[in-house]
Amino acid sequence: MSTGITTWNTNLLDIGPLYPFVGSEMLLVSAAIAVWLIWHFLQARAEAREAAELKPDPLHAEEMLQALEKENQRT
Amino acid sequence: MDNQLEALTIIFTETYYWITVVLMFLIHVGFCMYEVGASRRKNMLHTLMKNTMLIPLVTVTFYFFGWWIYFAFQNGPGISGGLIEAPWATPWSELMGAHMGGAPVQGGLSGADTMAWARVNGVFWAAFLLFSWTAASIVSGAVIERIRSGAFWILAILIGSFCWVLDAAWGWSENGWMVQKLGYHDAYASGVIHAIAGGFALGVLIHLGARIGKFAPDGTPRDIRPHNPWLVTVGLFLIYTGFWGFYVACNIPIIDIGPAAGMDSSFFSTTNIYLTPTSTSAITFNFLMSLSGGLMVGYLISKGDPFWTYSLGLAGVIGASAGNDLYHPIQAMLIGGGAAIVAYKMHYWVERTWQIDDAVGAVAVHGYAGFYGVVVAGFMLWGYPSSMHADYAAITPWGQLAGAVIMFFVLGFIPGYIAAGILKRLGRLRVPEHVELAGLDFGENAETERAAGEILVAERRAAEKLVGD
Repeated sequence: MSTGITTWNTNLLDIGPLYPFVGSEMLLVSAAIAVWLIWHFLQARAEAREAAELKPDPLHAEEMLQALEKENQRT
Repeated sequence: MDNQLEALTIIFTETYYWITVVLMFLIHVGFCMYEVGASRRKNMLHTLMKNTMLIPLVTVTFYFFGWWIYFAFQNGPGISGGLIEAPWATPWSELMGAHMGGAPVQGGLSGADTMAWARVNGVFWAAFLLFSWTAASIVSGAVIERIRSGAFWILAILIGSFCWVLDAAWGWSENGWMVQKLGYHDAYASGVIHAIAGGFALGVLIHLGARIGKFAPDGTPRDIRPHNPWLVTVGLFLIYTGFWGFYVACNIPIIDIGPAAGMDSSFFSTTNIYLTPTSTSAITFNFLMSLSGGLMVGYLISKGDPFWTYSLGLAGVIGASAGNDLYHPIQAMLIGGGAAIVAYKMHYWVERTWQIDDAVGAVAVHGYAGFYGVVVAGFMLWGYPSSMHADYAAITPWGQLAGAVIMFFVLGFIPGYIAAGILKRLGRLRVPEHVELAGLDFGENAETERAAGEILVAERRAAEKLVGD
């Protein structure tokens, strides 16, 4: 079995494509385009989720209060 | 390849472009450093990843359709002819992979195609691709600290794998319709990379809006300083370095232009992309002299501001690039100095007049300086042939002005404005206000802030204890 080239002991001027599975190009391109589009979809979903999870509390006041409470309990 | 001279020419050309690609990679490193340095600490990682991830996204889409567009759309199509067959540039072509140049396996390709493209297709493709990254990266700097990454990457693909490639097909190829009909000349891409990317960025910025706090209620702009000016300037230094690769990538290193000139004998020369003569030596003179003109004027006009001095050095090169294949070095220096004035004055005028927040001055340095460069070349090179084809239009001021308008507005500003408008309408363009306030690195920042809060409280307790003791 061979996926492409079987020998280098030949007239090198006759050799065309070097990559394996010649003839599968259209399938490869279709799969790659699908991967590209799915990537955008997954990224957009993750970005929206992350933004929604962040509470609108830019000064982190709640975290400061929690820290203060924790510190009070320790002392 | 069974002929040593032919083999040397082809493999030299292959290696030449490969080196340009490596050099041009530094442009992207420089852009990343520059943008991260220019952003505030709370946005550094987002800024870095936004620019980094355009690399794979523009690369794969340029593989899917960008490279084919460059060859297929040179007539418009529909302006100087129809769609052109380019079977070596489709993503499923056997020539878009490792190939020895033997007889083709696929239909549609000829033996001449495989001989011509087998060893240079990948390096030509990559050289153009690095230009694509640059076009997208120019836009990236303008929009930092408030754009959603997902939105930016869609815009990056639009400018990097479509708009700039279309303009290259039209005005940056031997037989593009703009060369044929307008005599368009833009040897080192004042218009085809810089003006288009600047125009595109301006279109996006109008919809994106300014960063919170950038403008006072009366519209007066406030300066948001880079968090790391040193990183900004080193980034710009690296962009200069990569620009050497960009310049030589715009040339064909060795080609016989004797027959095209009507000579009976061969005449081997370096040419620009239009296959008209220049030399690497000529562009080396002009690159450095236009950089110097930009830096000298930039230093004076900005009163020694490092950010602007470096940026205007770049504007100097960009402003002279359209004709740097033919200018005298002192002409290049003076034109570069003029570009610095145009970029600096226009930046602040647009900022004050329309409250456009261009975070790194990208629209000015690339867009306005690029536009100026294309127009100036029309006057400086008035009457020069735009091509080896005697029936193509000569270079004229009006042809160059039309070309500059096509680059900046038609293929840059309008697509950027429309695409950003659609993303804005879908609520996908800008991050929510609370995210912008917290910083776009909020995921990473949250942990740091939490720890900082605890440390602050602990320190205060320790200080109170000390005072109590």
